Amino acid sequence: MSRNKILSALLLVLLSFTYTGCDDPPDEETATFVLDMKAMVNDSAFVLGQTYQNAQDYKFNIETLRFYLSNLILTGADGSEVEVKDVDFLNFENNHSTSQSKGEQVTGTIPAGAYTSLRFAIGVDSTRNSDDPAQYPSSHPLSIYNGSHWNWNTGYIFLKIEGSIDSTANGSGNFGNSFLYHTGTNPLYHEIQFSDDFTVAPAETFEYKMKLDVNRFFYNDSDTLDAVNDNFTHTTGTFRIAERVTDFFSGAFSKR
Amino acid sequence: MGNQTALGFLVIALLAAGCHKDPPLSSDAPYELNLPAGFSMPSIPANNELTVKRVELGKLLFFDTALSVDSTVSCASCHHQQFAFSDNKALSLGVNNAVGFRNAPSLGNIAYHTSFFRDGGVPTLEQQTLAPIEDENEMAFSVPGVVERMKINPDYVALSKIAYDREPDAFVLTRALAAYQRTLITGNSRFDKYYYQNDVSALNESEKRGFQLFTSEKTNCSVCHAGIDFSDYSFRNIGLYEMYADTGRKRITQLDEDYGKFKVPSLRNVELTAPYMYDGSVTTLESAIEHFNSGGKENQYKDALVQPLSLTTDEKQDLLNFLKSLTDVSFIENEEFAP
Repeated sequence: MSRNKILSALLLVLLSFTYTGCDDPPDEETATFVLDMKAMVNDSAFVLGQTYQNAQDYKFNIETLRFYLSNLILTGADGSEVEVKDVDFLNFENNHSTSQSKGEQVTGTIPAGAYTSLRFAIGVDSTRNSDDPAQYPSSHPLSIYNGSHWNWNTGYIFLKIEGSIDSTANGSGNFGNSFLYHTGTNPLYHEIQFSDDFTVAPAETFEYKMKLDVNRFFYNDSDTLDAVNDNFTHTTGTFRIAERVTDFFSGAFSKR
Repeated sequence: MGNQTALGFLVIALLAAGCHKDPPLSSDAPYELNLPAGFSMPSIPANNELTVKRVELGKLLFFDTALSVDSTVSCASCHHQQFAFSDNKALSLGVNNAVGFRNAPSLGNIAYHTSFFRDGGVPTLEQQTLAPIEDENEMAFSVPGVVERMKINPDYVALSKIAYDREPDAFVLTRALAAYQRTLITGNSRFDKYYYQNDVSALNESEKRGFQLFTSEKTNCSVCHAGIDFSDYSFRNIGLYEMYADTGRKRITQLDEDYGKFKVPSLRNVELTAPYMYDGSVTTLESAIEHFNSGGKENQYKDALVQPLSLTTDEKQDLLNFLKSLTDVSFIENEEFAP
């Protein structure tokens, strides 16, 4: 064979590799997932400072309501796990919840597709819980600007609920008592899981609406919180109250 | 002009340029820690290496009352250089003369500590700075509030940029304060001259006997007050009380065995840091020695090393004299540390 023909043959071989052997797999299609968390009392948006009556007929209000949400993870129909957000901070004192449509939102990019469950945790996980909040910019969830950190016993305050309550049931709303629940420390990092089938289309902004039922802060199927007498915890030294508050709070989430 | 003249002008111009020695205004440089004999380099976080401008910024902040809500209280209000950066009160007074929780400890050699506060609740010096600023009984303010004040202060803005290449923020505030505090090294007492600098005449006979007693199995002082900083930074219950209102380390760990345990303080400059103990309840060095001589008060968690010592009057005097030889005058007079 002439030299030209050999070269042509080699060129053809090379070109064939280019066009057949080295294809990239098709790009995964992505979408935006928005966990929209709305604090509610019965069917209405929760309003900071407004007087409500709980299931035990005590009038109360809440002036502080904020918590850390970590490791929001979706499970795909194929069993794969997708992290939406590693850590976020939800603060219901900013009056977002007075809006009819929006709650506090946790947003992330995910692959489009079918999903069968989601889970998240209340609190900051142990890999970050002893982080220095001063190292984070003010816009970061773990920044000191969120006012949810114990500076004398390093760790984040996972959940803050503060408010006032009547001393007796069916009272006048004079609020003779106040309650303050600050939970934290690694043992009280608490995961919650929700089984639910949903499909997210490519390029969609998918809002997953959830409700945080303020009434459920005070009771669940097995326990009732006496916010008059068991009214205070910073967790260390009063761990059991903090643990119960965590349990109540965990049970307050549902799809809406 | 002729070539030689031109060359002459050129040479002069070049020389003149070379003689212009003013450093540019915006430069920083490493801060060399002057370590006394026997001291090793303290551990310093990678993102807060010591530089001249970082230390300068930290010093300004340390003495700045703007860190408190009403601009009356600074770090130096409770950590006075003349008292080896401690206070001469049992409990210091914060904003509105609020009474503090525990006795303000000396900041001498704070760079070597492995945990912060008397109960060790905080792991780094950078993180420690957050607490006094936000404590109701100390500065009664907030870190965001301090940052806002820093941002409108041109000196702080300029120094933040040079030292940390950013605007004033919580990071700059905490890192700068830590940088300044890390420079507060004390290791030049008469004892140091005797022990680490080999000047056998630096201590008198009583002080030398006191040192022997201090390190002997008769007292076991040096088991806890160990090493070059006279503390192993461990937490101990020394039988100050039978019942502790302030449970110390237990407040942090919630463990029964940590009841009444507090961090062993350094004894450097102890002559200057009265009153003593976590609550400042022991007013003189003599009574501190007597506390240990007596074996303390009984409680379930008292350390086994705290036992009656049966010291003679002379032995107590020797110990006292030895402890006084740990005073480092150069530390409390060092102008580098002063505003």
